[in-house]
Amino acid sequence: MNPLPQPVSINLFVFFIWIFVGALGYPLLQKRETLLKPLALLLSIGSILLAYSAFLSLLSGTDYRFTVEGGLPGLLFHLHLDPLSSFFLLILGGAGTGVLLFSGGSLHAMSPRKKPGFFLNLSFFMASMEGVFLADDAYLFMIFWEAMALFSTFLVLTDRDRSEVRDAGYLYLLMAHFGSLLIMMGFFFLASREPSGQVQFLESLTFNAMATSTPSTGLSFLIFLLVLLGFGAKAGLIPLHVWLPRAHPAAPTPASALLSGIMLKTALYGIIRLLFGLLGLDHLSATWGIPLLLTGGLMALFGILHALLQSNPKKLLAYSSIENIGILFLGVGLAILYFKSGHPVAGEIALGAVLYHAINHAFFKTLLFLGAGTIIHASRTNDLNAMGGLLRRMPVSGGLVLAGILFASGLPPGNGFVSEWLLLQSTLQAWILSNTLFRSAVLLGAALLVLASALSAMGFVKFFGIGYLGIPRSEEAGKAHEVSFLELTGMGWLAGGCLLLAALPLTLLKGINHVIRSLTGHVFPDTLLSGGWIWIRPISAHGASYSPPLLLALLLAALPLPWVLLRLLRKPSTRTSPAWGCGYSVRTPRMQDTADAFGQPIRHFFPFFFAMKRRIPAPDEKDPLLELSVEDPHWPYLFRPLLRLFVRFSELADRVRTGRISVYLVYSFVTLLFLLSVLRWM
Amino acid sequence: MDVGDPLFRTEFAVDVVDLFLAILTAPLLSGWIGTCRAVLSNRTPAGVFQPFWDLLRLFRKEVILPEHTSFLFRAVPFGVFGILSVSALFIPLLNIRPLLGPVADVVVLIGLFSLVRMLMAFGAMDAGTPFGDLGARREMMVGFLAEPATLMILFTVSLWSGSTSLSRIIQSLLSSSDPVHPSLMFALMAYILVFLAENGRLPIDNPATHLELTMIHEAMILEYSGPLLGMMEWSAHLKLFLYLLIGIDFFFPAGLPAELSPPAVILGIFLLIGKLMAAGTALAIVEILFAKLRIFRVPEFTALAYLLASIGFLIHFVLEV
Repeated sequence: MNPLPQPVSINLFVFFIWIFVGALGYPLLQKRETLLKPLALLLSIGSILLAYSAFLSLLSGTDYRFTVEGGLPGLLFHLHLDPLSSFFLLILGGAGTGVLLFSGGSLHAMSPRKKPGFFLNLSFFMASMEGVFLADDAYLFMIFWEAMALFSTFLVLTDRDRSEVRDAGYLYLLMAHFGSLLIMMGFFFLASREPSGQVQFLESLTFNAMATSTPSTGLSFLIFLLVLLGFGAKAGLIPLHVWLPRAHPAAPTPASALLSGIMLKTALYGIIRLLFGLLGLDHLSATWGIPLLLTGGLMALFGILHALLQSNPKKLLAYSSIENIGILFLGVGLAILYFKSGHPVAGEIALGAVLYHAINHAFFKTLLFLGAGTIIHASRTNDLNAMGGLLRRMPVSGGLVLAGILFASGLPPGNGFVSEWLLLQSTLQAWILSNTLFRSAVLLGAALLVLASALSAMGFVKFFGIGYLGIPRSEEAGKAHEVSFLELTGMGWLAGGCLLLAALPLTLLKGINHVIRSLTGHVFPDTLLSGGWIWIRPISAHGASYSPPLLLALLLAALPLPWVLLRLLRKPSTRTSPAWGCGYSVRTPRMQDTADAFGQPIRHFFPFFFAMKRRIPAPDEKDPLLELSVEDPHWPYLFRPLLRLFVRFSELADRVRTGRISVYLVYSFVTLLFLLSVLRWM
Repeated sequence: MDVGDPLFRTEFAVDVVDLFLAILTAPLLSGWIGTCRAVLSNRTPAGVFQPFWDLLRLFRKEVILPEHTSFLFRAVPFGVFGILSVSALFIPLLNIRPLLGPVADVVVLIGLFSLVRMLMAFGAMDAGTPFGDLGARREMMVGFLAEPATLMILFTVSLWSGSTSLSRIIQSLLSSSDPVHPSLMFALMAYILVFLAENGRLPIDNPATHLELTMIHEAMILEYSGPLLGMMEWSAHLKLFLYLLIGIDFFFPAGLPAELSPPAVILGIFLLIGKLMAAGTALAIVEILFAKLRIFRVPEFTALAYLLASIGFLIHFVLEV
């Protein structure tokens, strides 16, 4: 056997580090808790190695397949490292490093009984995600996919003594299995095209074989649907998203950061791998892009509207993840639409924007989840309404979260803006589409995208403004203190990653170019790649252009300038006094805005997106009490009726079960008669 | 272009002049609008230079910081002013091909204005007063309502050039042979509505009151004082000026010097002053004629803007292709 190329061997090495450290850590941590920090550092060193090798293999466009002994008879374990895998491994390693560093500092607060188990699940979870990206046949893919679902469920169930955590874990497991079932069916239809003999069927389970076969249009559409719903259940595709805002906040902070920031990307990986890689662009149709595009747009809007109503910071971020996944779906739909209607340039930009947004989201969402964890820990509550004034008490971590907020809001010069700008440039090409239906769908998608991104700015203003600014709303929030060095290092790593992604997008876009080439055979136009590291010119040399590094440099130069001028001219004297209280001398923290107040206009403007129950007290009531409950409409209108139907059905079925042996004997007899008559008739 | 190139040096000089002109003319424009409003409502105008005297007075005062604020409160005015000055570099004033123009297209500019809005909201919420929170919340709300309409306007305007670069849009409009573009007329109407909403003018927000139930922008800067307030006020003037400038570039680019020759530049300056004064007068008339809308009527206002811009977009394909 030839020696493996360096990136591949590093990948396998990291995989085994994670497995071994996780397995060894369990007994070690039971004996000595203090070993947690070095063990977490070992995991994060593995993660850094992974990010480094993935970055190198992505830029060099490595495409390497190999097999490992094992698996089913007639089907070895197939593994590969192609540009798409490298890209997602870069996400895993890059954002994972920050979370693992953070967990080294934050887990000391966890109860000693839970620590070893959590550590084991965390490292196995990382390893199984790596396996998902490396697998090259359906069998191995499903093994890692299920392992990932299992270990993430264990992570969610860490605090299983609380009933809502158990409910969330159960719901998550249910959805994960529903999704896996659909994915397996998708693989089955992709594979079973030349059903001639047992061994050949197994061989057709490799991704290579799937990519070369040619399904009919009807079958392709079925596969398209199965893939979307199957991976959608993992990604939080509406209406299969209901587990997400429950499970993500229920997990301990590092785990919820990994779930929201990285695990959602495995679903995106699956969709891109199966649709573009295995099914192939030839078997897609432009019209299929429209439902994907519009669902994505609506999902983005739905997610951010619900985020704005949450007063639990982790829930707010989980709903904002639904928004971002919506944006990714929108981009994938846009890419399919453009590619299949003969405009590859706009399609490449859309697909490139999707991939870029995926890595951006991984970095800023993990950072924000870690930030949310720190303020929940510091103020000992998960209610934003009891926080406030934390920036003064936690200036470093607060500053890092502020950076994360600016990066996440899709505003220049942040990294989120780069991907949204690319996506918008792609929608702005709507005029080249000749089909009016396509054109209006793209425009509607663009409007939804912009509305969602403007709303997300408001959502993050709420998160930061209520949580970190103002006066503490509770005693605990007033006593908050800065987090440990290792936690800050983890958050700083992620903020640094965001900054690099914001300032130097072209380096990574060159890697994304390899991904797109290996998937679709098209490459970015020359103008985009010839911009050095300074200019992004996506469409043509004279078209729109954007230069993130120059903008960043200009802003950094311009911000202190007025300050210096002011100091030079005349240093103003400064004094502190109470804020203006309209002449009233009493000023309590409760006079500040609440988290719920931020949601009020949203409920007012978009009532369609919420299931609201409101009771306004009559004027003569003794104890007037305003009652308001806001809920995800999918619960009262879809899932609870479904659940009732299911219970009703099982109750009906229950009537058959009387408990008397004579009745059961009659059942057996009737069944026997039935089967015999069937045999007779055949 | 080479740094030693004489053309480069001329352009660089013009760009620097443009930047300082924008920063210095902005309060003057607000003064002109105030004068027009005063004349129209039968008051004695304070004069065009009043905003300068106000700024001078503020910069002489001491800074009073509210208790319990963090470093963010002090940083926000500098951030806001800095970002708006940088945006001025990308918007053509006299030179329709600013050297730094390719750094940012119109989408980036709109994004920078949103960044300003977000920073101001943070500054307002840092003091922890009900007014600041209220203003911040309302400002963010108006922002997200106006942004889809802004995008639709961009779509419509960029149809002529196929690009969102400002100088590219101006050049293709200047070289177009049609005297009237019906699609742009609708986009212009939509732009006026967005302009009013984004800059806190009547009928969305009244820049002249401090009535707690109605104010948005003033509520956000209530806790600022002295030089910090001066920076905020100056930024508001600058933002108004830049929005007006973008409007002129989009809809009335005629007369902007295509070449940097002295006669063309001088003509351009006079035309630009005329356009700005006309726009300021129109704004004053609008503000005199309309009363402030209830806050929950704002969505209808911005939906109208979105609709008008969409009509403009459709008309382009019906009439102009």
